[in-house]
Amino acid sequence: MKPVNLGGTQFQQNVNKTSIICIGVGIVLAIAGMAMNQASILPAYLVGAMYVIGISVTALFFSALQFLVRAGWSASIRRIPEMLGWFAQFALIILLPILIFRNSFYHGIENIPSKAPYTNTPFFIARVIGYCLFWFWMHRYIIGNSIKQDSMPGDYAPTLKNYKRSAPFVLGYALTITFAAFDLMMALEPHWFSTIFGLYYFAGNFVSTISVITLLFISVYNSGELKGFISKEHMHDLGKLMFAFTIFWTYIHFSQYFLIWYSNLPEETFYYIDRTKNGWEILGWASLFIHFIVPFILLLRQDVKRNFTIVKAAAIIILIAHFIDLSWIIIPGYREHGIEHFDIIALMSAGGMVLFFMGLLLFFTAKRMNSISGIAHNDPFLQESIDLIS
Amino acid sequence: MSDSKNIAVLGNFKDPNKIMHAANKVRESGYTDFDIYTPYPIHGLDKAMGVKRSILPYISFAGAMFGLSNAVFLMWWTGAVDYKLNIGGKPFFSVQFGIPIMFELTVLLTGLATFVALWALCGLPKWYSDLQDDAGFKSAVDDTFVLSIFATDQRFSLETTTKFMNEIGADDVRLIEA
Repeated sequence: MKPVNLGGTQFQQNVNKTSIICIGVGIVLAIAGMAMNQASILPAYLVGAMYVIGISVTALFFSALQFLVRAGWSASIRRIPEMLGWFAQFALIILLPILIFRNSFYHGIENIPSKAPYTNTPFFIARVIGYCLFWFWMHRYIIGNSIKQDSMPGDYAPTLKNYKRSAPFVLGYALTITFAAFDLMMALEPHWFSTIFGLYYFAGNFVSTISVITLLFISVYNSGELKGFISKEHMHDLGKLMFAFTIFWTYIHFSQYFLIWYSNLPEETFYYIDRTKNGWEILGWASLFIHFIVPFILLLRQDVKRNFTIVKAAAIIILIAHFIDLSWIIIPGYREHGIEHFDIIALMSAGGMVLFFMGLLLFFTAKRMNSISGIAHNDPFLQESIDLIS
Repeated sequence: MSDSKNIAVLGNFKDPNKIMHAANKVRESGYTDFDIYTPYPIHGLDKAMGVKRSILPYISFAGAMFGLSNAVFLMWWTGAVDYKLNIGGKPFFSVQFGIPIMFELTVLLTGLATFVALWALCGLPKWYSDLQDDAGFKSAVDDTFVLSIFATDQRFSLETTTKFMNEIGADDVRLIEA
């Protein structure tokens, strides 16, 4: 089949426009919030960085996962996560301020001698650089091979390479995203520990990535650029994944909360106590409702997964919920450093940073449309994906 | 065999695309009481046949709600009303520790309700079918796609239905009697 160039299309213009709006509104909100409350600079930056890195890196994982399980259904939509994943290469640039001002971001992290062999600054910097290099490499390898397949009709060597290597890459993704969650978010509470924390971060990321993919899918479907390649059946499958992984997020979060609540040990419970007082409980309840109950009810029926309005609404709600969830983890971590009570200004700065970074992500996604085909047009499963009936 | 009764007209197809085509034709010509037997599930066949959405999800949902409310009642009544026990200073009833039981009972009752309702909706268990002795019908578990139009259909008549079957490309069109 022939390549489809999305450069210069209505779809690219829409994504571009959205990205400019996100960047503009984000900068205004973030600067206003940070000017009103300077203590919100660090948490806001961290929320934004964790949000966008999680989504772009998980987009790489999504693509690798399709190769790992030899998925047929996704061949015609796989370019959406692959374009999103381009931004994962810049993870190190986004994390650079955190590496430089580490002691401002993570207060008291080095005051615990027994944890120093792991938490000391040189090792921390080496680890974070390691994660970023791995993500860079993952993009080069998995997405690189996927694109190389475009110019090799009939010769499936690049796809076969991906089949072979996607399993170790997914394993590496699991380890890097877990330890990134430990090093960059759990480190805000140096005395606290939770082994499921990395999985919790992944669960939120995965459902948000599916939501972003779904929103881009609806946009490209409505503009008609990929007519003949994508159908409502693909949206049905994306809706199913969204539905399943909101439940997965709830399951993982409850697993963390429940064990801490039940064992009732002071060394663990303070994490939730600090997050359920001084007004922070608002965010906890909000994330329960809009990260689980609302999407669950919205997406429960079979026919609504084919309804553009409802799926779009659910995707946007999940993206907001993921922001609230990350804010709930991160912002109360600065309670002894300027943000004691629930702070709408800090939330505004964080929301601004998230919008700004998501705008950048969309901007680079739109830019990527100029250089690669909008369809994996030599993928061995493409015909199967076009004929999909879910 | 004067008291024998017409049950159905059967026709065999050798190809999933042909049975799909035939299903569309049968639906368009107005037959409602017909069925198709295939060796494996064929995506989209239900749409071609015009099969309506099953009410099974609603029965599952009712089972889920029944399980959930039972779990809440069970936890509350045993823990906080009938036999209060202080275990490690935990409250007598609380949503937190109830969630695993609520989840389990919801899943259990959903599963049981779905299972029982599925059997009932499919008319199972069924010890005898008028079609079961037909050799062509038996091959539907191997490599044949079998279309059957039942005599209970209002539009059914032996001649026209047989003719129609031949027109849409069925092989070995035959009448089943009982």
